[in-house]
Formats: sequence, C-alpha cells, structure tokens
Amino acid sequence: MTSQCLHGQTNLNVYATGRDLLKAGVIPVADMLPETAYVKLMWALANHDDSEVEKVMRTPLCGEMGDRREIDV
Amino acid sequence: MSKPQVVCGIEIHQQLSTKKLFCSCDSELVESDAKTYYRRLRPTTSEMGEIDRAALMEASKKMGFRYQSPKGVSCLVEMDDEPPHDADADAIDTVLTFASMMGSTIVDEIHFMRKLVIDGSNTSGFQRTALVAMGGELQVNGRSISIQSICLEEDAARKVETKEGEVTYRLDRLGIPLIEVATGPDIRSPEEAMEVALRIGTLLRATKRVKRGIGTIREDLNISVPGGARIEVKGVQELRLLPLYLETEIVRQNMLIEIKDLLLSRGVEPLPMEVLDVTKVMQGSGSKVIKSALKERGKVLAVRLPGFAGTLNGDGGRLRLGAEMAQRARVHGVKGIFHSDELPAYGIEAAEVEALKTHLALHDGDAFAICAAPAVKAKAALEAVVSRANEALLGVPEETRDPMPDGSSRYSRPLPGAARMYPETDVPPIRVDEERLRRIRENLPELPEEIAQRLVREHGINAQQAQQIVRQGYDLLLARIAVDYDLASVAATLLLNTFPELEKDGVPVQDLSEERILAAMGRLKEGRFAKEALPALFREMAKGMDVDQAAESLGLEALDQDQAADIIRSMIASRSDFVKEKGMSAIGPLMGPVMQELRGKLDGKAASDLLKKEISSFLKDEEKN
Repeated sequence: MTSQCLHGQTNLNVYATGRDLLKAGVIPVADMLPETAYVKLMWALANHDDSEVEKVMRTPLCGEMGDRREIDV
Repeated sequence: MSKPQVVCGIEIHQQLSTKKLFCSCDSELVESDAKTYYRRLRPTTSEMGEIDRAALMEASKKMGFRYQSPKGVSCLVEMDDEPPHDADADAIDTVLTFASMMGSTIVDEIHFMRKLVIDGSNTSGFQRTALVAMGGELQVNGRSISIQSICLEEDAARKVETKEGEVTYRLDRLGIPLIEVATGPDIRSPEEAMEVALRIGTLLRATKRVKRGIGTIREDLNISVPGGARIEVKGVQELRLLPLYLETEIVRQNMLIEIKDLLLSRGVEPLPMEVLDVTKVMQGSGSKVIKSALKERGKVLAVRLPGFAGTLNGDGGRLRLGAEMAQRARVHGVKGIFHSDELPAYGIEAAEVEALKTHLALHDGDAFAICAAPAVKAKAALEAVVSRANEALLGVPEETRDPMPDGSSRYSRPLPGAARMYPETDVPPIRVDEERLRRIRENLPELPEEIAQRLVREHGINAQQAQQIVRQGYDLLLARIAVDYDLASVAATLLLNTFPELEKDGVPVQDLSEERILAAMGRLKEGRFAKEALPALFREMAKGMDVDQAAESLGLEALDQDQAADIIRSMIASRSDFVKEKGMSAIGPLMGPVMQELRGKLDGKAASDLLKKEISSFLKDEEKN
C-alpha cells in the first residue's frame, strides 16, 4: 500500500479500513511512490526469497523511501 | 512498631537513549535555529464522555502556545500533523529488560493510552503512556521496596519562555522515550527516598540504554503524613534535594492538620462564596499595589474569613494558610492577595485595616483577604481563597505541587481525575511474545554489584571506589580509560574526588563530555603533562576549551627527565648549605619547592625519585671534594 501524494505517506493503523487491509496481508511502504514501489517489488521478487520480500519492501535501501517529514512553513 | 512519620512512594522518569518513541527523530536536545508555529488548545470531552478537572483549570488560563521545531530532532509527528509511527522496538526492549531485572510481571500486550496534558507541553494535548510491567521489588539498605508499575511514556516538549498569555516550547524533547518506574508507598524517611532513587537510577543505567546528565532523570514524589493527604511533588531534577522536599512537605502537612484542629475547635463553619467590593474603603490608600490597580480601573475586592485569624500567618510565621491561599489566587492571574494576619504592612495603614474590619462587620478572631486587580480576575482569585479556606476545615487538600529550588513547593493544580486517561487508538497493541522475552532474559545486563566486582578484578581499583564509580554511573567511562590508557586509578581519583571538588567551586564539570575527558586522559598518557595538572586543566576545559587549548593556556609542558634534573640540580645548588647539613633527610623539606616548580609538568612520584637521586649524587660529590 502506498500513496500518490508527493509528500504523503501511508499509515494503516489509524482507521478501521487500514487495519482490515493490514489483516489481509497488505504491506505498507511509507512514502514510496507507486511506480517506485512497483519496480522495487519486481526486483525484490527476483532477488529474494518469498519469505523475505515483506521485510525488503519495508526497509529503505537507497533513499527510495523514508518515514520522516519535517515541517515546511 | 511506631506509627510511620510519613508514607512516600516515588516515580522515576528516565530518558532512554534510543530514537524517539513514535517516530525516527533523534532523541537529542539541540540549540539550533528552528521553524516555529503558534497554536491554542481547548478541552473537549474525552472518548469517555467527561471533561477532566485539571484540563478545565488549565483551559481557564486561556494560554496560547508557540512551538519551535528544530531540524533532525522533530518532524510532523511532534507537530501532531501526522499519526504516530510504530513504537520504537529498542525502547520497548529496554523497558522489558529493566522489568526482567526487577522480577516484575510483564504484560501480554502493551496498550498505549492517552493521558490528557493541556499545558501545551504536548502538541496533541495528551501524553502517550503504556503499562509494561507490574510488581517486583528492590532491596535498599536491607529493606524491601516494592515496584508498583513500570511504564513506557513519551517526554513532553521543553519550556523555553513564558510570557503574558503565551508559552514557547521546543519540540526536541517531545517524544523522547521515558521509562517510568513507580515504587509502592513503602518509603518511610527522607533519606530512604534518596537511597531508593539512587538505587533505581543505578539499575536503570545498568541497561546501558539510558541518557546521562541533568534533566535526563526526573522524580515525582507522592507524600502523605498520617491524617494528611496524597500530595504529588512533580518533576524534581536534583536528586540531592529529594530529602529536603520530603521534609518540607511533612512539615507543611502537619501544619495544615494543626490548622484544621484549631479551626474546628473554634467551631468555624464552611464559608459562603461571597466576594465584596471595598474599593470605596481603600480609595485613598497609599499602597502601591492598590494605587496602580485602581489607576488601571481595577477594583479592590474582599472576602470575610470568620474564625481564621492567626492561621493565615501565625505562631511566629509557622502557621501559613495565607501563603497557600495566595498560591491558589495567583493561578487566576493576579499578583497576589493581602490578608489580615500580615496587615498593616505594604503601605496599608492600621486605620485602613480597622475601616475594612468595620465595613466587613468582623470581630476579634475573624480574618479577611483583599485583592486589588481587574474585577473579573480579583473575583476569581478571592473565590479561590474561599475554596482554600473551606478545604482547610477538612485538612490537607490533594494537589500536584511544583518543586522550588529552595526545597519548598508551590501549588500547581488539583490531582487529575480518572477521566484523564483513555485508549490511544492510533497505535495498535503490541503483543509481547515468548521469543522476545527469551531473548531479553538471555541477554540481561550485569547488575551494579557485578560491574563493581569486575572493575576491581580487571582494572585493579579498590572495592569502595568501584562501588562509588558504579553508583555515580561512571563505570563505562572508567572501563574505557582503563582499557585505552591503563589509567584506572588516576581516573577513579579524578571522577570521585577531583570532579566533586571542582563542582563545589562552581565549575560546571557536568558539561564535560566523556569524549573530552577521554581526550585529556590520552594526552596525559602521552606525557603531555602530569596528573597533578588535571584539576587546573579540567577547570579550563569546563570553560569550553579543548584539552590542547587548555594545556596551552595553563603553560603546561611536560619536561623530560634531563630538563627536570637540571631544574632540581639548580634548586639543590642554591640551597647547598642546607642540603649538606641535613643530608638525605633534606628530601622532605625540598619536596615542596620542587613541586611548586614542576607541578603539572612532572609526575609527583617521578619528581620525588629524581630529587632523591640528585641529592644523593650531590652529597657524593661533596664528599669527594
């Protein structure tokens, strides 16, 4: 699960729908853009064991994702 | 057993040295420039359907808040613009480790709760806190002190400035994980409170995941004397003042009980909430406070306190209900009140006091309080005075109090009600599985006693020093100095004797980081200067110099043996008659001048050896001639 917002990120803990998605096995990937997530998933599936894919997707490898946003006012 | 003089429990809040609890910001305090924004907070009914009384009181102050958000140590989570992220796993592990060390029962699931805090120190209006373990105990001087609970919390923002109607907070501290350890009400004396706090502090440091230094550990004291009530003195930072806060609170509660008995024996009844306007009576008063209040179109209001004479400030200043009333009044934005036990004074004449008494229809044994301020504020302040007077008939009111630097405390707010806590819905419960607990139990840190024994065994310092080193939290530093430079005993003397002496002289040794202390020890090992130079050197370094600058500004330069021998030879030559007469026993008297010349440049032992050698060769030469 990701967001198309340039400066937004997913947090599936806040609303019931999100928690249902988590229960269904959806992997939240913070602020990664959908296109990046798509490419990273192809790479992860090709290079890692299936059991490790979730961990790889949730770990920042080269600046493709992050979870810190500072204020911009 | 005799009745306890006091019943006390403490809560210790210790910052952890992990990332922040609900985001990946660094847990550091910084002084760098920061973006700021302005907000207000307003109380609403909680998810439980009630409004908290402490929250309402805060809201009545109508404050605005300005927040500084420095880079790297605050983000949108601190701003409350973004929901909390997953709780930091290292912080949870640290609390689980401590709970295991204390033999506490760890919960199956960690549930974060929201605790209402609307003094603005939390942007969200609440502090997140989670119970992690219950029970357990620790031994202090042969007595068993029970642990009530161990929680994981987030620290609040740091107050930078308070102005009329506005408080500025810095967000670097907000969200730093805190472990909160609460003892049972088992402490029986002021000294024991400090011993318990020291012991918990030492055990916390044994986890090696806690922060060091002033402000990183804070204590709350829950105190009651028999017949008194639970008073919470919140946020004591200086451990050495802990016993003093307890002592003054014991005196205060006993004083309030005495006042209650006195008032009841006089048959004093609860007072009506009746505030009277006495502006006309005080119109021509010479009192500066009253003149300036009237000039700004304020009023002088008064309340009758029948039967209260001598309790507001009586028995030679020992009975001080007036001070309690004034603290309550000030919460409503007035500078203070005047009460009849302290008048005439402050520019209010005896005749004015008599006029007031007549106007208020008071008799002997009755008291009054007046307040000069804008009418709305003065009325609220005096109503607080009447409330406080009525509470005096019941004894000690439950309160949260702020510690003052002189060991006293000041009214802060009523103890919060039960509506204050409700579940945090944005952080899912965290299951503590068996696997995680096994990993924690298999990697428990050394206990303080074990660390002390290791220091003795591996680095050769004596047992008493080792205990002190551990108690004061210097064990990691000492081990590094011992391993890197083989200077364990020099370091022990430095940390246990030299630093406290410097501190007594007002040198801020607490500002010296471990890295800078290590750097100095490195230079000592290289022979850049002798260990006798260390006190002066750290005195300079505490001003902000690095070790080389400090050594240079002191003119420290290590001498090699030849240079030192030259100096000593010339000193012997200039006292040749004395040395000839005394022979080898001239060493003692000469040691003083020699050290004066060589202090900090040559080690004391080396100087003594060298002096001995040079005197002996001088005497041999003399014999030959």
